[in-house]
Amino acid sequence: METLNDEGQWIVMMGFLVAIGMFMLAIIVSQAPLVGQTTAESVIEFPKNEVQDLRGKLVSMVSTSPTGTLQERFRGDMALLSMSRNNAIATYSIDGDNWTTSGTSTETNYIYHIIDIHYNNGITDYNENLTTFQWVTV
Amino acid sequence: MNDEGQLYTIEGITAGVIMLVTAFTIFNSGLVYTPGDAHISDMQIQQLGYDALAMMDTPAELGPVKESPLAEMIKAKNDAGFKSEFNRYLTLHTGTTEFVDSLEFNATVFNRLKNSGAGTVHSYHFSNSTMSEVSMLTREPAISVTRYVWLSDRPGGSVDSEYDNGGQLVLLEVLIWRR
Repeated sequence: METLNDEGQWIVMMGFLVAIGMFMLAIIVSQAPLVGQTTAESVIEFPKNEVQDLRGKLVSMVSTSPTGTLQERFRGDMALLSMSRNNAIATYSIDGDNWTTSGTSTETNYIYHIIDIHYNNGITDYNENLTTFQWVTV
Repeated sequence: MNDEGQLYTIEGITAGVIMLVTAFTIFNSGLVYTPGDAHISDMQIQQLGYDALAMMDTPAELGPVKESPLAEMIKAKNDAGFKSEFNRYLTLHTGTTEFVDSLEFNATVFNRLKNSGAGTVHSYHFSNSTMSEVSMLTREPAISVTRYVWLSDRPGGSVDSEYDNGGQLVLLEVLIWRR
């Protein structure tokens, strides 16, 4: 053993430990793409277009349609069709507290409506409370 | 007892452990092949379909609710018009490169029956692209896009068991796939 120089053993062992650590980290990193979710999947899963569709419909319909039809007919259509085809609970209320305020300018009378939108497909839960107005030409 | 060279022993054990872990990792890991970009084209088709339906469902006039071109097609049961218009939006391109037109679609209308069906969903085939021979052999999985369409009244010629009277929302669902 006299030719063997055993100085610096700790340095060698620390090198091994660091190597093992990097190896373990590499295993963890390599597992991520196998079990993870890709960005494109998340984009597909997020119901952006459904929510925008419902929202746009409500905003355009409430501006002209009678509130009674909106409350009775369209809400039922939306609730049943979204549940059966999009696997989502979608409901809304117009003027839930019968809160309406009329504002008058010289030519146009506005009736303000408050719309509550609720959308939940189990992954994404979306709630919105927006105010819009209905044109009433005087 | 000669206790020199203890670190050599530790080194040997460490090397052994590393080799064992490596062998274990190699032989124990099931190879799951998941291409990272498997869903990118799905996402693009989905967005393309939603955008096409949104464009067709936009009325030409602002102001009091007008029926969109899409609603008029559904009311008139104009499946040929939908086919050409939807296909036109799907295949819009710049013209500077050769465009591979390989998308096909199948559209179904879902509507709620309140009066005669007591809250049931009624559906019927609305329109589809020209079925190509290639599509008979193989195709990619389809992507579903939907759009609520406001109809001022039911399509002409419909009976109570198919459609309720009056204004209503129907859901147009289009399956799009790449052959």
